[in-house]
Parts: sequence; C-alpha cells; structure tokens
Amino acid sequence: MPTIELDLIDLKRMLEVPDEELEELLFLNKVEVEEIGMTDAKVEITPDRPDMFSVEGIVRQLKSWLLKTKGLPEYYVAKPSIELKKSHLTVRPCIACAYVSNLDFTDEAIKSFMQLEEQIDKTIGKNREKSSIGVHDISQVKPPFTYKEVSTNTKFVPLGYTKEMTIKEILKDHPKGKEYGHLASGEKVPIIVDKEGTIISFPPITNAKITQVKPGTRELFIDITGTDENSVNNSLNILVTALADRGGRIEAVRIGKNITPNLQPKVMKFDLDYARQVLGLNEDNNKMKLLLERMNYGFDIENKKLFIPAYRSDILHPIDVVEDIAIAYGYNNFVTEFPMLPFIGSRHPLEEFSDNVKLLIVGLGFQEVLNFTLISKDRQFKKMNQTARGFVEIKNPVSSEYDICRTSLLPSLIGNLSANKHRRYPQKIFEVGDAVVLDSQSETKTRNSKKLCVVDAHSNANLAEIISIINSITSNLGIKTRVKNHDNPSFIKGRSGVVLLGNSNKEIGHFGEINPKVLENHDLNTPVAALELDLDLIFEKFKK
Amino acid sequence: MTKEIVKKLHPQEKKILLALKKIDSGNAKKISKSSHLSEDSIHKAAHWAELKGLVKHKKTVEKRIMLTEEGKKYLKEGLPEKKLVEKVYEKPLPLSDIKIPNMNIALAWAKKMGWVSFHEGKIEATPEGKKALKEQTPIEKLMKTGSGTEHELKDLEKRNLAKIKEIKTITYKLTGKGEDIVPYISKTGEELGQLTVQDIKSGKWKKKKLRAYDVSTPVPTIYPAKLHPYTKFLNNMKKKLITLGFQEMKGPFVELAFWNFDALFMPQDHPARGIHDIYELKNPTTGTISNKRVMKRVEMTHKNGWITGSKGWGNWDQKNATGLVLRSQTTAVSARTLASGIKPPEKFFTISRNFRPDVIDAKHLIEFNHCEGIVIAERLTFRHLLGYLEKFASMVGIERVRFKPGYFPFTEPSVEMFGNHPKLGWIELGGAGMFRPEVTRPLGVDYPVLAWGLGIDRLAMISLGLDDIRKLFSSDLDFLRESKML
Repeated sequence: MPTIELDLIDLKRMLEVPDEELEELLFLNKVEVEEIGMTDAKVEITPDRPDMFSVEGIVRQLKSWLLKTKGLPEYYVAKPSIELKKSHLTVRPCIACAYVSNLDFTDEAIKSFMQLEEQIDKTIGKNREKSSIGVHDISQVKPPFTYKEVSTNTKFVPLGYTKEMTIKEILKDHPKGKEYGHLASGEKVPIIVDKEGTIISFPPITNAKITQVKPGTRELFIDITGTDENSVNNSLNILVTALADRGGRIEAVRIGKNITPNLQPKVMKFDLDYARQVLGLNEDNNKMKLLLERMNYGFDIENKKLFIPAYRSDILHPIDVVEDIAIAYGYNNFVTEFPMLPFIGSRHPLEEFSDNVKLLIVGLGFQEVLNFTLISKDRQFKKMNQTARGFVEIKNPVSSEYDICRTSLLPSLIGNLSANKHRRYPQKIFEVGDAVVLDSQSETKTRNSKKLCVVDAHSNANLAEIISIINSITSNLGIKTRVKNHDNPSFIKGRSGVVLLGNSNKEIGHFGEINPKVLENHDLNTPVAALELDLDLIFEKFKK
Repeated sequence: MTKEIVKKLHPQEKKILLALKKIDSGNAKKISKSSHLSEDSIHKAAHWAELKGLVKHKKTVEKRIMLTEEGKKYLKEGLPEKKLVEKVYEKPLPLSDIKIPNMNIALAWAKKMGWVSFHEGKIEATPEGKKALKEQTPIEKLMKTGSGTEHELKDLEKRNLAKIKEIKTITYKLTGKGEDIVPYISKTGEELGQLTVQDIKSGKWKKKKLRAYDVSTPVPTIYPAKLHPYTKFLNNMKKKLITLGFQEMKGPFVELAFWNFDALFMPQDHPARGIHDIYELKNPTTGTISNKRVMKRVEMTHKNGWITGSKGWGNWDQKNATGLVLRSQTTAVSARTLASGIKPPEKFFTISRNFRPDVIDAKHLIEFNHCEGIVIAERLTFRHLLGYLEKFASMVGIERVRFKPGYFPFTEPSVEMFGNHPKLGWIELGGAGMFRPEVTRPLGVDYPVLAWGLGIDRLAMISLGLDDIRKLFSSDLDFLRESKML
C-alpha cells in the first residue's frame, strides 16, 4: 500500500484537530498510521484513494468528514491563455496540461507536492507507463508549446545536467533514462517544445534544465502525458486540486479543441435505497444526503443525481459510493447483526478422509510433520537418485531452494530426517499433504495430488516393518491391496515394491528401504524404510 | 518411617547393609565375600543406599610399587653397584680388570653413593662402600618391603626398577541411619522384581514377596506420536467454522490467472499481477478456461461493465487470463465455488495454502495459509458482515474489535478488522467485504456475497506462542516432541 510522510505541523495549520483524536480520525478515513512522532507521521493510504496521497488531500477529506466543510468542493478554473499544439503521435498520444499561479511554495508545500507527484506516477501512472507528470517553471521559455515526435538524435540539456545530450545519450546515461528507458524504446520519442523550438520536456523520462522549478517559483506549468486518457486526466485533476487547496489559481490550457483540466463534477445516477439495502441502514433521505456530503459528494435527492468531485478517480460503480456512505456513517457505529440462518457445516470429504488417515498413522506411533509444497529440483530428484521429469516449474523463483512444486512427499521427509540427524532415534514421522502433478485433462494442466508418506528411521528399520504398516493402513480402510517387487532408484535394489489396488494393476503407492546412496546424499547414517501412498486413489476406492 | 524405607529397599541394598553390619566397613571386595554380590552390583546398590543416607563412602588412594623386570632381577641377584664394590673390596683394580654385567650403571651409582673412588687409574672401595656391602640399602629395602621415602621412590622410578601405581579404593560404612534400620531388614525369602508370566502361571508369586519400588526414581522419557501443533490449531479453526455452518471448499494450487485475478475483477495491469507478487510458471505456462460463458461475462465486465452497472476497466485480453500461476489468494477458490452453480443460501470456507514470491525470514514465508469464506444469501447487509467478523474474533478469543475502512479490489464496502489482544494490544485480524457486483454477476450469482479472510498464520503464532513464522512449519523433532497438546 502507498505510504507517505505526513508533516503534522503542516496538517494542523490547515486543520485544527486535537493530537489524541488525529490517529483515530485518520483510521476511520482509510489512513493507517504506521509511525507517529511529534512533527511527522508515516501513514499508509489505501490505493483506491490517490487523491489522499498528500497533506492537502487528507485534510480535504477530514474537514468534510468532520463537517467543517461539506458537499462538493468548488474549484475555479480560469480561461486559458496558454496553448499547446498537438501533432500526430504514434507513442504516448494522450496529453493534458494546466497552468497554476499565485503559488506560495513553502518547504512543506514543495515536499508534499513532490511526494504526491511520485505516488501518482507510481499508482495511477503505473510507474509512468499509463501517465507521467512534468512540472515546469516557464518564465524562460515562450508558449505556445507543441507536443510532437522527434528522432533519438535530438539534443537538449536535461534536468540535472549542464551540457546538451542526445535522446540516445539520455536513455543510456541519465538516471531517469536508465530507470524508465523501456518506456521510450522506439525510433521516435515524444517531446514538448516552445514557440522557438526549445525542448522543455522529454516524457516520461525527464524535463529540460531550462524549465527547472526553483525556490520562489510562483507559477507552474504542468503537463501529463501518457497512453491512457483517464489516467492522464485523473492525475492532472488530483495535482491541480491539491495546489488549489493551498491557494493556487488554476488556469486552463488549450490543447487543440480541448481545454484541460476539466474539474466539472462527474454525474452518476444514484439510488439511496440501494445504499440502504447494502448497508442495512434506515436513515431518511436527508440523513443519507448528509452522509454523502460528508464525503464531498453533491446530491440531488429529487433527481437521484450524484455529483462526484473531479479528483475522485476510483468510482466505477455505485457500490463504491455505498462504501463512502459507510465511512461517513462510521464503520464502528453500525449495529452489527449475526444472521441466524439454518446451515449445516461440513468438511470436504477428501479432507475429512485425510484427517482420519492421519489419526490412523499417529496411532501407529508416527509423529506428523509439515513441509512446503515448494522444493528445489535438486532435492526432489537428484538427491533422491531420480531423473527429473513431470513437474511444475516456477518461472520467477526467489530462491533456487524453492523452484518447483513437489511431485511426491518422500524427498521432503528424508530432508526432515537430515535436519533431525542429531535428535533421538527411532525417528518415526509422516505427512499427509498435497503434491502437484501434471494432468493434461485439467484446465490448469496440473492437479493437486493428496499423498501420505511414512518414514521410519532407526537401526533396524526394514522392509517387513513398512509392509506391515501398509497392510495395517489398507485393512483399516477396508481396502484390498497387494504388493509386488518393483525396483526404484531411491530404494535398495530388490528391497522395494509397489502397492496395487485389489486384483488390478493400478498402482497406489510404493515403498522400500532407502538406498544408502540417497542416505549419503542426505548425510544420514541410520537405515530408513519408507512408503508413499496416493490418497486420491485410495479415497476413490474407499467411497465405493 | 524406618519401615517405609526398608520396604522400598532393593534386595541388593539389603544385602549390602547386612554385610556392612557384619564387617563394619570394607571395600567392594570385602563386601562381596560376605554378600555374594558382584563388585559392580555393590557399587551400584551402595550408591542407591547412600542417596537414602544409609551408607557413607570413603575414597582412598594407595601408592603401590610394581617392580619392572630389571628391578626383579636386581632384587634376586643384587644391585650392580654392590657387585662392583664386592670386586674391589680386597684391593683396588684397574677398570679393565673388572668384569661384571651392567658396568656403566654399577660405576655411575657406586660413584654417586660414594662407595668407590679412583686412585692412580684404579678403582678402590671406600669405607662407606665396604660398610654398605654388609647392610640392606634403602633402595633394596624399598624393593623388598615397599616402604621408603618419596625421594627413594623417585630414585627407584628414575632407575626404571619399578613403576608406581595409584590404587583407588572405595570403602563403605553404615551411617547412623543405616545402623538404625539394619535390624528391620528381614533376612528371609527372595523378593520378586519384574512379575513374569511364569510367576503368575505357576503361582510362584504367592510364595514370593513382590518388591515395592520407589516411584520417585527417575525413568526414561517417552514421547507420544502427535499431530503437528499447527495442524491441531487449523483443525480447531475448521471445527469452529463447521459449527457455524460453513462447508469446506477446495481449489488447486496451480491456478489460472483468470480465477486468481480476472474473475475477481482485478484489472490486468493490477500491481498484484506483477512478477514480484505472483509466481508464474515455466512449465506448464498456460491452461484453458473451460467455463466459456463465465469467461465471456468476465471479459465484458472488464471491458465496459457488462450489465453490472460498472464502467469496467476498458480492456481485457484473454491471453493474460490463461496464464498459469501459483495461487496467491484463496479468494480464487471462492470465485470457483461461486461459479459452480451454487444454490443460496450457502456458506463456504477454506483454509489452504497460497504462494507469493518473497525472501523467507521470521516474518515472511513464500507459502502460507489463508482462512477465508463466503456467505451467500438474500438480503445480507454490511451489518451482517460486521456481525460475522465479531463472531470470528470471539472464536479466536478476542472480544473487543474495531473496524477500519479498507480496500480490496474485489470487495466494496471493504473492511479491515482489528482486535484487542490482552498482551499485544490492537492487532490486525483480517479483512473482509461484500463482493462487488462486477465479481458476483459474471459468476452467475445475484445475491449479496459476504467475503472474509482471517490472518490465520498470525493468529496461529499468537496461539502457539511463536515469534518466528517459520516455526509454524517446523519439523524439528525436539520441538514437536516437546510441543503441548492444544
């Protein structure tokens, strides 16, 4: 979740609120305090409210919730005096701009604005892909501006440098070029130039040095470019309303036939009954309207028209507004209710069966262990003296210790013995758990496979003992099985076998004395006998 | 009291006590003669008796002279230095005329003792030498009787005529308490230790006495086989949920991105779908979405909201939905269940594994359990959801809760629940919400769906008193053997 630094002195200058109430107030408005000090706080804001990624946005929400202001905030947008011409672009075709003057950029205001910019680029802009922000002091350049495409040989002085660089050089050497270069990988790249052809911006990588914002800057030209119209406009609206909350004067910019920003509220048809029904509230219309106003909405009861502030980018469906009504009402003010509906609960039959098998094995004196489904290819196959095949492999493992899904449980349990080498013997352990196997019939091309693995390690561990255990399990489950010699490289040659169902040749498991080579691979020097059974197949038979 | 002590005495202890009474004190060898017990048994039983304060032991160390072969020979034939003095007793002789064995040793010691002197190339006996010849020298005495000074002992060792061996002996003696109880020890009858099948069958036990045991004697530790503590915790949770009327649902670990994300209305560019938050597969890479009807509705909902009343996300690509991932949220199971043609009212839960790329440490696992569930019924409201959450909190022993507005891509309203733990203060217990219409309608559900998830791993750690999440999956046998029943 997005985390921002909140300047508490700055916040309290805009909103009078007692210290002891602040944390609770933030909590009730989707802001979770991570750390709080005398002057600063680190807070987490849910990603659906990018308009609250700044002190200004949080204060706007809290003021309204506290009924210090209420309803739709009005923002005045002056007529455009600046124009931006847009030529045909094959990349980043969307652009929106605004001009904000009368700014009193204190240190706190600059910090908050830069933080907002960064978070907006990250969230709404999807790390500058869908939209990215450029902020300029245009006192040294001359409008009108033009947004166009140029070749990568074009030169200008980027932010943070004093010499001219080509676009190619910027992509190679400039820190932002390295970070976002993948977003400008074509032959043509977008730039913004002024009346005289001076480059002011190379979105989404860097601005030019000539429009660098300095302390004391009182006017800002903002450009938002991107691939997604909504992201571009939403980003701009959030930025300019935050600046306006600090006293900035917003002036529109003409872009061809359009004028941006558009701070007109969005209108949505909204049925108060729907909200009452979802929330289980009985408040009358006026009370419901007040709840909406507490969240900065405007509402026309008669026409069921809801006015959504222009900076709210998260309202996709009336249900999003319903949650805001609940926030306005106060989550902890709801009278909770536990519905007394007649239901019969139950375990999943396979899981219930597995539980019973576990109890049976515990009764045989084996301790349950738990292991991860993820394992390394090495541990699953090589260390078990097996050839790797038929397994689910992860594309982006974090560690080579966990790069595949286990296809059987035995390697995990032999691993457990290895880790317990210095613990008291006999060591009798088992696990009932899921392996993942390939299955071309399934829509996921794989399926979970429920297995039972029993491992017996002591100085006299042997085949007879493990076959007794198999017989005990199957006879207790009322299933007829037989065993047959069958060599398996994990076991001693001639001392392993398979378990077959009834008189069929359907294999439901295997067993044997572990091959000393495998013991050696696991740094073990105690004999081990083991069995692994397929519980899915046994359960199928058991059900019949 | 005395009788109680006697009753619990091992037969061997009794024998030793009786023997000591007779011989007053003695070492194992001496006691053995009187008690007919092996020396090993005597030490063992005497130790038990000593723990009861009946016997006292004393360790003594005795130095014993063990003559070497050389020593034995000299003892028989006489010391070489004496032989030298003998040769020159009458008159001094030149060295070359003296023929005795071990001439060098003889000369060295004779000189050292001052028994001979050199005079004009000849060796002659001194008066001391002549005198010594008639007497037993200290070293001879030491070799014969074993008694002498430390210094003489050292000389003997230095000359390699003997080895000094330290012999430790333990002697036992009755204590006052021991003396007191001896009269109560009956000398008659053999006592039985382990009762045998033969003893019972033959009736031999009737004639014998079954010995009383001291139950406070330490015995070997044994460990029962058990379920894993975490399994027990999870079973307990499952039991409670079943009692609340929830049916268990299941879903696969390897999941289509469709069920893990798209069906939950998570846009295809959602950060949780990024390579850092979800395990993608190298093999197999893609699956097929078999429920085409649901797929079509999900597609339309993403593109333009379909009939849900939503604006949608504006785009959707089937390619991104057929990719295979390791399930990152059990909500995928809820989505599958909702699409399976359920007949509300219904309640489902699952407690199962999920996978997320991370570096494993005390706080993070790459594989962990989620506990979540859904309630589907007519006229369910947000108040019911909060009611369920309160119920779950009390299920894990937490009575005070508070709710925070939250955000999950698939629920609206969303809520995070915090509970007041007596020791830890306010802790996050889980998240919940009502599934968005964009989730339920495409899956064919026209009723409200309450959905909730509990941070089960965290709750288990609190319940089991663990501070490291890795211990939840511990297979350390000492930890498991020592773990308490829940």
